[in-house]
Amino acid sequence: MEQKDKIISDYFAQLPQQMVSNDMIARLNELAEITLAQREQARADRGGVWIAIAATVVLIGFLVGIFSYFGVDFEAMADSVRIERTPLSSESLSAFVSWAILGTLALAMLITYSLLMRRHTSSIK
Amino acid sequence: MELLSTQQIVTQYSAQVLTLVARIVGRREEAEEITQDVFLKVFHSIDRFRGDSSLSTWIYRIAYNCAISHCRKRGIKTIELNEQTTYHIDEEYNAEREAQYVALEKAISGLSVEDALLINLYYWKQMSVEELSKVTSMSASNVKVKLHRIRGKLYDKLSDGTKG
Repeated sequence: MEQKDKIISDYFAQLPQQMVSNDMIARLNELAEITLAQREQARADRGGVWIAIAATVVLIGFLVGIFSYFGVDFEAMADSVRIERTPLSSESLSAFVSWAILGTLALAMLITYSLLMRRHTSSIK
Repeated sequence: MELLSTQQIVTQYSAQVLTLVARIVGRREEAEEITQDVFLKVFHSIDRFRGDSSLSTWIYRIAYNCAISHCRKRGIKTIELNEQTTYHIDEEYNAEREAQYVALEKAISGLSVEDALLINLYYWKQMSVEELSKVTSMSASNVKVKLHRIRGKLYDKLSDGTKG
């Protein structure tokens, strides 16, 4: 049995090892570079999303502060979204406009950040 | 992982992975394609390598899975041998040894892809049962049973080969 095992071991030991061409080594290294860059990009994208969310929260807080300072009535704004109220009064209308400005600014901020992050990550490539 | 490390991985393991895969699929082009696939998976998931096993075991595990899934896709059930993956006796001509090797190759070419990979890793890479268990995701006792069966088949063929 041991002798047979030795023959099998010898057989596997003498089998030729495949030679890897320089071309293939170069291809594999290139593959590594591309994969690492893609991973870096994915990481940056994830980071970018969190930055955009945090920045939007900060911006909304900042805008609410400014609006409060200039006397925007947030109670009226909150009331304006209630269905039972008639949204035709000038008070409600101004509150709607204030909400629209806030929303648009937040959206613009998100789009700007995502565009900036896309430009940043594509420069990594 | 830095780029230098990936280059080291390529330098250190590409020939070994290619050799293992070529011994299963036979054709060089196909083996290169699978090897490329193996390294793509290695680079993609190198961050998730926790070091529970050695790097080589982890790479062979990926190679094992890639080779099996490639063979399943192509409907390859038993391994294919060709002149690049078969024996060559360098020392002076030995008729008895040649008969043994011919008998062995006949037995090996009848093995399933999984069994051929297992026996190659056991004899060629001299992996322990524990390492083989990690590579194949089989329990150690299952690996032992499989190795026992495969070796039994090879021993039988060797006996037949040396009788004639």
